[in-house]
This record gives sequence, structure tokens and C-alpha cells, in this order.
Amino acid sequence: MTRRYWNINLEEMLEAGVHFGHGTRKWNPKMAPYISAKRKGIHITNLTRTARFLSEACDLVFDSASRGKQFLIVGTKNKAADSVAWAAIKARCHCVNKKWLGGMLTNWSTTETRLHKFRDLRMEQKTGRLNRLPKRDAAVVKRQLSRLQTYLGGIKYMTGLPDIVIIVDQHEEYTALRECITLGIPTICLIDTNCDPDLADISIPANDDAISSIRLILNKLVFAICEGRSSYIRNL
Amino acid sequence: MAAASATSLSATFSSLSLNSLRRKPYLFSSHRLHSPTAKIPFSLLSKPPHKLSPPKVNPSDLETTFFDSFDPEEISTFSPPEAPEGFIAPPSFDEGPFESEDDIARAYEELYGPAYSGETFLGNDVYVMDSKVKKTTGFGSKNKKEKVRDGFEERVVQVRRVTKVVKGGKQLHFRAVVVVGDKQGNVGVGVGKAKEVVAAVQKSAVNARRNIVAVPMTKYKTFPHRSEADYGAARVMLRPASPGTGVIAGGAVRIVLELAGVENALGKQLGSNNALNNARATVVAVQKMRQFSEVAQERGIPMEELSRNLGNEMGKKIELIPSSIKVNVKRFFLKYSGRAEKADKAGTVANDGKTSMTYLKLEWILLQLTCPSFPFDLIKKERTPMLDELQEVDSISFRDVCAAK
Repeated sequence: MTRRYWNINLEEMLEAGVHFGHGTRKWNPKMAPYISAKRKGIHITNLTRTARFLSEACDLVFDSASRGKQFLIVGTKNKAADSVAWAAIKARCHCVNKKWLGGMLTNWSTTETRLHKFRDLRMEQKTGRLNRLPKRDAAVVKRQLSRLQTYLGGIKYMTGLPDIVIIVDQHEEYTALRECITLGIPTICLIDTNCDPDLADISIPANDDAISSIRLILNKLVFAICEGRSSYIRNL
Repeated sequence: MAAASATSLSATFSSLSLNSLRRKPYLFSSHRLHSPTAKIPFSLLSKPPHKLSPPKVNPSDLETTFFDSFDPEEISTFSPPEAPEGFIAPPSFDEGPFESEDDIARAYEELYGPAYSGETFLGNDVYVMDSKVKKTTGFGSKNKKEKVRDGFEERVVQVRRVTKVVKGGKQLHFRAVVVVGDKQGNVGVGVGKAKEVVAAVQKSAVNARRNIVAVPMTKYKTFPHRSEADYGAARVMLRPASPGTGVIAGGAVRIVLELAGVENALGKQLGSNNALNNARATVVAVQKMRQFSEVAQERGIPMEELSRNLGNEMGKKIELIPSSIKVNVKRFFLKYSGRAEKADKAGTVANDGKTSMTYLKLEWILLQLTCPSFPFDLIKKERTPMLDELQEVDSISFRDVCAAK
């Protein structure tokens, strides 16, 4: 696997605030090798290691995108929801920004049933059948549709299990991570000082609270995915 | 986390079974054996997590370090490759040209097909996903004839009616324990509960197919060695048996062994007689077993040494070399070294067959190892006439044999 240049510079990361961790009392001792200092009651992550892992993650993502694999980005914090949606649209991959329903991947057959329902409801909406139903039924159907749109809107193009999953906050998305582990799907995770680095396959120690830091890392990964996709299309 | 995890990940991408590999970044099995492979990233050294026997260490190994090729400072330096000339940073994802919803939908559809989007811009069939999903309710749903699909045979160990007491009364369910196996050494035990017996059996079969285990078997369809294991309060002892014995075990244990394809074995349930726990205990017991070749490879010694140790400890004959080569080693050596007259005078002491067998094997092994030029092929041809003159040899010192040449 070739190592490419991903335009990762440490000053940019410092500006975005990637190096801030959580409070000192909430740390996970397994993160000790990635913490460089303690300042004003907050742990500071070692940015060289972050950069190293980020470049490795980008390499992996580029490699798999050039083989035509499918990605899923998971980020449900309200701060991160918008950036995750934008990132997924830009990179043309699936995303989950609202709540991660339990069993989305391990109970894929049931999720597929819901997706079928979603598709049927949209067809009905398009053909205008909803206007012919009585008002109450139409309202019920519309409510269902909006519910399905919020939860499953990002994965409506997904036909099977994804090949790589990118998780924005490990603490928050613990169920998603657990599901990927049981299914054996490789994961890339943004790890903060209160998370466990051994769970994900590639964990990037970074700040998961600041929008700018999430945006920066997602930018790099999305760039890598786009490059990979273009090379896939070129080689097809 | 291993620094080289990304390389190994993309290298092993097609398998996608990364958990077992991922958990052992820094563990090394027998260091002697793996030192030439120490350059390989750690997560490629896949070792099942439950192997407990430590490798034997000889004193020359004690000075070696385990981190020859791993430099812990490596993570803290970041040396990216050089930027290509004219590299323009791409715009961040929320700046940049705003695409209309149509464009986005079109791009997605190009990549993934219409899937569940309900509308298509490229003229694909919107209901393309329906053909791939079989109906579970509705008109065409009853046509599933599940015969022996994918080669696994199922057998029900136990069906029990279990009850949950609620305010309104008793809620009855059926719990089925099913063992699934092809007779080639793969078995799995599964449980499933449902309100109907058939549904419960199906659920448990699905569960069983999910945790299948490979049974180590020898040529004669039996185990390589004894093993005991427990699961809960159930304790099971398994023992290999000679061909023609059949499976002598009770209930759940018998079903598991039969579906694994084991033909000769002895098994006993030593603890509780709960069917599910006993089935699980046999699976655990079987997982603990190792083949001779695996152990020899792990310890880095030839298989003959293993069997010799076993022979000495257990005092039994181990069939490594076909038993019909009962040779009078000294006699042979002398004969083929050209001193035939001395050969006839080689000592013929009558011993009972057992102890001398090990001696004969030892000499044979030593000969094979030390004198590669010994005419073994000639001996094998001459085997039949020599059998008539079967002479046991008492403890010859090997020096004598070599000196005789």
C-alpha cells in the first residue's frame, strides 16, 4: 500500500483545536501513549501521533475506495450531524446522522424491511396516491415517511453491509462500534482521551467536541475517498 | 495499536475477518520459529486466542528482545511523503460548489443503483431490490423447501416447553437445542426459542450455523488425544478410540460427535446432565485439542521427538513407522557394511516385544537422523525375509554400531 501525501500539517490541526482532550478526571488510562501533556485540567493529545494515524487511515480509505468498497459514516452528536451529512454527500457514501438504531447492521434483514417500506412510501408520495387517502391516513403516512427519512435517509442507497465504517465519537456511538466488531467490519474511529483505543481498527486520537476538529478530519478522509473513487473509475 | 495496522488491513481486506487478527498485536508465538518472520506486521501473525502452552525456551533465546523490528518512537515521528508540485488543497466539503439535490441523487444512483430511493434519474428499475429479497409473508412466501442446504445436517438434541409467568397467566414457548454438522469435521450447537416447535428448531439451526467449530481428526476418524472441558456445571471427557469402536457416549455428546464425523471415540458426561451445556462442553473440549503436526510446528521440533516423549511417558507403542519394520539394526548395519560374517554372530537375545520396540524405534530414528547414507531403501525391500528371522536386540550402544562399520 503506497503512502501518499494527504496535506496534513500540524499547524492546521492546532488551529482547529484537534489537540484538546477531555478533562483530566475522565480519561481512559489506555490512552496514555497518545497523551502528551496536561494543561489546565485538560489532557493534550500528541499531534504527531494523530497525524500519523490520520495519514494511515487516509491511505486505507484511498486503497479501499480504489477497489470500489462501500463506506458508512456514523456521527450522531448534534454538533457533528450537519458536517457528517455534508461529508457523506461530498464523498458519495452512506451516513447515519440521527440516532443509530440498535441492530442496524447485525439485524440487517429487518433494516432492509424498513428500507423497502421507505421506498414504497416514497413511490406512493411521488405518484400522488397520498392525496386520495382520507386526511387522517395521509397524515399518518406522512409522519411515517418523515420518520423513515430522518433515520434511514442516509442509508437508502445501501444494498448490503458496508465495507468500512467511520465513526465520529466512540463514546457516543458505542453500540455502532460493537456491532461492527461482531460482524468483523473494519472501523476507523475518532478517539478522545476518554475512549478505548483498542476497540477500533484504526483509532485517530483527536478532539471530538469541537466542530472544527471533526470537520478537519472528515475533510481529509473525504478527500481520500474522492481520490480513491476517481482512480477506481479511471481503472474500470 | 500496531503502527503497521493499515498495511495489514488492506492486505487482508478480502477476508474481512479482522477481529482475531486484531487482538494480538504484540504477542509472539515460539520466538525461535518466528524470528525470520518478525518483519511481518504483527496482526498477520494469527494465533487462536486460546492456545495456552508456552513455547519451550532454550537458554540461547533468553537474551533476545521481542521488539527487534518495532520501534516505539516510530509513532511519535511524523514524516509524510513530499507534497507533489502544484498541490492545491481541495475545498472543504461545505464550501465548494453547491450541488442541487438532483445532481446528488444522480451521482448516488450512478454509484449504487436506485436501491431504496424510490425514484430513479437514470432510468433504472426502482423495484430492483425486490427480486433479491425473498418474501416472508404474503403470496409467494410458503414455497421454501429447506432441504439440506449448504451441506449441513441438523439434528435436534432437545425440545423443551418453557414458561414465563405474567399477570395474565403463563406464556409458553418452546426452546430447541439443535446440533448442525457436516460429517467432515465441522459442528455447531445452537439454541432458539419460539412459540412453535418448528419455528424454534429453525431459529436454533440458524444460530448453530453461526458458531461452527472445526474438529481436529486423525486418519482413523478419531481424536488426536484425550481432553476434558466444562461449560457451566457440565463436564465432559473425550477419549480417542481405535477404529471399529464407534462412538460410545451418551445423549448430547453422542449427537455432537456423530455430526462431526468422528467415528471412533469415547465420551463421558462427568458433571450435570443438562443437554445444552453438555453439547457446549464437548465443543469446548474439542476446541482444546491440537493435532500433532500443529504442536510440533509450534515447538519447532520434528514430530518424531513428540512421539518419542509420548512413548516414554505413557509407555505405549506409537505408530510412527509401520510396525512391520522390526529390524535387527546391528545385523542390518553389519550386513550392508560388508561384514556379513559378523552379522550372523550378532546377539540374539529374546525379549518380550514391548520394551525392545521402543529401543528399536530409537535406533531407527537415530539412524535416520545421523546416517543419511544408510541404505534404507534396501532394507525396506528386504523386509519380508528378515521378518522370519525376527531377532530382538537388547540395548546396543550406538557407538558399537558405528564402530562396526
